[in-house]
Amino acid sequence: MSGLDQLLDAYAPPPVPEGLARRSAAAAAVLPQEARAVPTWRRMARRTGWRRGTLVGGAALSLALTSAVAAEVVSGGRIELPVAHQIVEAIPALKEQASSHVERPRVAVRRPSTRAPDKALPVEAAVTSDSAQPAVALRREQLMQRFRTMRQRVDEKRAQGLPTPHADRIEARAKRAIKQRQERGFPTPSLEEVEMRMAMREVRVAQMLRRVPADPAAISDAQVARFARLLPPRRRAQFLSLSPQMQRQLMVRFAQRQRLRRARQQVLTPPQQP
Amino acid sequence: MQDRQATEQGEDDATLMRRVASGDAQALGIVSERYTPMLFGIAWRMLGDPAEAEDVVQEAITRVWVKASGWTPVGGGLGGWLRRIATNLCLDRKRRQAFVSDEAVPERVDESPAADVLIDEERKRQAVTAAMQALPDRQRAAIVLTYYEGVSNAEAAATLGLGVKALESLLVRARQGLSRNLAAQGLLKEGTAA
Repeated sequence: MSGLDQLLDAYAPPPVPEGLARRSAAAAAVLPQEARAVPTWRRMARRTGWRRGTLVGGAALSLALTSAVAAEVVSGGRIELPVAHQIVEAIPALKEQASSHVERPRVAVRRPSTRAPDKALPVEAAVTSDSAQPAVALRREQLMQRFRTMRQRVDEKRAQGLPTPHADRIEARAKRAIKQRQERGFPTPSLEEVEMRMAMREVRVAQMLRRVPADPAAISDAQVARFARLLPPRRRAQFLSLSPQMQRQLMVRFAQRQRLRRARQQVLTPPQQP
Repeated sequence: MQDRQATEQGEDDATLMRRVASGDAQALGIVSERYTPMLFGIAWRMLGDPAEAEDVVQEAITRVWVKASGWTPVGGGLGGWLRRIATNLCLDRKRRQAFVSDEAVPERVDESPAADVLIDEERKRQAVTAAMQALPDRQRAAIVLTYYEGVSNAEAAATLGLGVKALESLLVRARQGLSRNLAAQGLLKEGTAA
């Protein structure tokens, strides 16, 4: 035993006061006792942590089950939870519905177009659209209708004595093409048909070129493909053999030239008299 | 050790506490008789004042009665629970005293030379008491629990809400502090204590 321990032994408490235990107990016994504490739901509680996990898991399972049952009742289909279907079958009011469920064949549904139909589209065209090639026939009829409208405007201008250079050029080209085909003995479509094709092609080219941005990197693949479709076969092959960067640069230059040409024509063409 | 003795003497703590929880005042009396000496010893050594120690005993027994339904026989048993209650009550009181006044500051040891052996013994006792009271509260609690109550380091650490290593460090510092203080008064040679 060290010297410190010997000294510490001298630090002894005085004797317990007489009757302290009895007095303490008597004073305490008059006070009300606390009721048993409800177990706390602390996350790290050693003795009650497992209860919370069980309760949460049970609640999640029951929620999933009731959701599955509700989904089966609402949809009429079979949910891939065996218990859910058994529960639905156990409910008399729903039993018939659940057992009479037949797997319906899946049908691909075309998303309805948000574009308003052409007002000038004849009723016959809409009816024939259900034929063998409905989309092509419908499109052709729409284009023809549009061309007739444009032709009507050109005729009005000509009747007024106004110049119609674009229409004149297209008409001349169409006549030339028909003549060439007749000379070669090829079947020839009507002049109106050829004119319509040429006019629509020019409209598509103009639309496409208007949408070509000044930055080649901003041109999408779809725009490149659209541009290639408008080119004649030999030039299309040349265009497609280029690298994507070169294709885009070529498109930008072509669009710029077209815009310049149009601007020059507008400057050179005298303003039309009403 | 005291718990084992108490168990051997009669009804075990768990049965007694069940009776206390059901409102049996007689069982509370038995618990009080069994543990009051221990509680008083802890409180007196921690506070150095018999009146304060009596208050702590009273408050601890009151807690036994009020919170009996929430008690479970784990850890150090009823003895360990009461030790923890008493230690925390003492630490609370010491904390409050620190802000009240300088009345609680222990008296300086009488420096006058002793006339005979009895006076010398009394002086020695007062010096140790003063040295104990001069210790920081947690260091004093560690010494009281481990040295006087014979509690294991692990249980003392749990009572004070510390790790075992922290308690051991606290004990070393407490013994060094006591040795330095007592050596300064000539009661202990330098370096022989801890």
